[in-house]
Amino acid sequence: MALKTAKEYLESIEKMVPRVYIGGKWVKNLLEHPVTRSMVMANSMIYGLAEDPSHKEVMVATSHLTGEPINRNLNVARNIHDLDMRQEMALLTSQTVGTCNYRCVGCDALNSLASTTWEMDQALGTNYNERFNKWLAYAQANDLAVSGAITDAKGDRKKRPSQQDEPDTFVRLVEKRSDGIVVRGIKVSQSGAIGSHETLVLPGGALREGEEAFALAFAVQNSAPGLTYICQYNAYSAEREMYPEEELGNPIYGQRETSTMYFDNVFIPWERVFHCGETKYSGRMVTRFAKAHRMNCGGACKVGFADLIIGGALLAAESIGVEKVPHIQEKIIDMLRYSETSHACAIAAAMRGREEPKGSGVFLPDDLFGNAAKLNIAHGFYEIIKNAGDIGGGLVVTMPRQKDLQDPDVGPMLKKAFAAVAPAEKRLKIAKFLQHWSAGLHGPGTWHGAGAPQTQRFMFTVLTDFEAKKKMAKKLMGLKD
Amino acid sequence: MKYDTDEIIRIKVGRDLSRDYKGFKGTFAALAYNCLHKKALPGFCYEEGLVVHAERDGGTLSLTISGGRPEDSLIEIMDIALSNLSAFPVGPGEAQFSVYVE
Repeated sequence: MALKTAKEYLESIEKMVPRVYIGGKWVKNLLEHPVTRSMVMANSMIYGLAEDPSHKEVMVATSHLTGEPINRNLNVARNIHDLDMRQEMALLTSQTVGTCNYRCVGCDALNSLASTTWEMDQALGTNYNERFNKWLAYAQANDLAVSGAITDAKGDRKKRPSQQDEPDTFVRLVEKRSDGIVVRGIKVSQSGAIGSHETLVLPGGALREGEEAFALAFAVQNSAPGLTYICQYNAYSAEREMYPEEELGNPIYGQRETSTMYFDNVFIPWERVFHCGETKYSGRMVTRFAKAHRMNCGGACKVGFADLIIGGALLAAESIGVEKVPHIQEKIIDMLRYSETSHACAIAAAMRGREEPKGSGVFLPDDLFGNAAKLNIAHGFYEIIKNAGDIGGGLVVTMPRQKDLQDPDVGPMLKKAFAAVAPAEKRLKIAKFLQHWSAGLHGPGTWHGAGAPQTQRFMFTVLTDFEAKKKMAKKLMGLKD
Repeated sequence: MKYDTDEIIRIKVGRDLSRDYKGFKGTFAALAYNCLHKKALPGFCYEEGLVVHAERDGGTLSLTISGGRPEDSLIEIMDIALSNLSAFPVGPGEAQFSVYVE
């Protein structure tokens, strides 16, 4: 089996029992808790998209290892077309589920590993790339949902990982054995790890000599003993626990669900270890991950979200009869300007992608355009949700519950109050959808996902040849020095 | 290209019950480590004390599960544990590893 169906994914997840905690409860079945269920249902839809013949070019690739058809979420980009289809997949999945493609971080992590393990083997004579390829062939053959864990808890930012008072703030090696390694520590903000079959763990940043214990990359199974997931919990989680699904802003797939992953002496067999102690390569691994992820997360995933928000804003305008008012149209155009320029950056990042390192056969997107995509959407997304809130009106945050419309005492009055061009039921449904986007978790999520904008600004300074720009200006001015 | 990714693990319960599972290389090592050092089975994080005794001799692992359970219940427990290691039942073949469960 090279492609799992949505049904087969759900059946496989039903058998898995990871140690998951959410809002004061332990979850023994991910499909029975309304919040964890929303994450699993989103992942199942991602599998479903690969079953749809109309999405085959975007969702299905050919394994460079076996020649078999595979889900693109497990594909290593080998050319420009692969990069382009990768960002198109991020767009399509966001448009479809309105939340994370929870296999997305894993996909970018495995591309970074394909590139960096090859480089390590060339330079150091290790066999990480062979190990990684075997693991990848197995993941592809079983069409596993693979998430990615990058961000350590980090503790006191003034201190290096080994100087932290609480050593668990970084995932690290605690024992090297003949059959594997034992790791402990904490990764945070891990999207969809709970409902994945496996998670690829990468170092959280560049490391120095003396920090070998933190230079780790490995694949861990989601119910490995010693691994605990503590899920995010917020007003939207509480709402999902209290309300029927159909009353929510994104009824089936919900908000982006993340967890804190606590590794309490977790055993990883050597066959799943792809980086262990080579500090020189930790930073490259993270940088290459970020390079891929900024194109996809910034320039495509959030553009898919923007498409949904713009659609919601248009419906809101129509529901009260203001869709032809010039300033409403102008705001819609502004929303499009931010989203389409970010998508253009993602396409440019794919088109200007190149093999990295030379000889590896792995293609990564152009760094500058990928960072431009992410930085542009980080700021643009706030403008987009501001305009959505503007067009949607105060109702977006002042609305009663949909269920209140059916109440025999207040329902008839509420229906009178909120009926306009569209009936009250429809207006409240649209307002709830816009609330999910403009007053929910997606603003800070977009800001920080794939790295906060300060990291992209830093990359701009690294990647830009400022001297060349000064030189061309001076030449035109006729300045000698 | 064909990649050598798999290992076959034979689960044996009592005299007659036996089932083979195919998992990624290292699956047996992970099962053995967790039984020996954590007294834990993957997929049973909410059931402490399930593994009463574990002993490894090369490629053979002997396990004692708590509760005096019938054989079909023991094979069911191992089926869940192997599923949680992404190892799945296959027809009888040449197994590299064996797990005896009682």
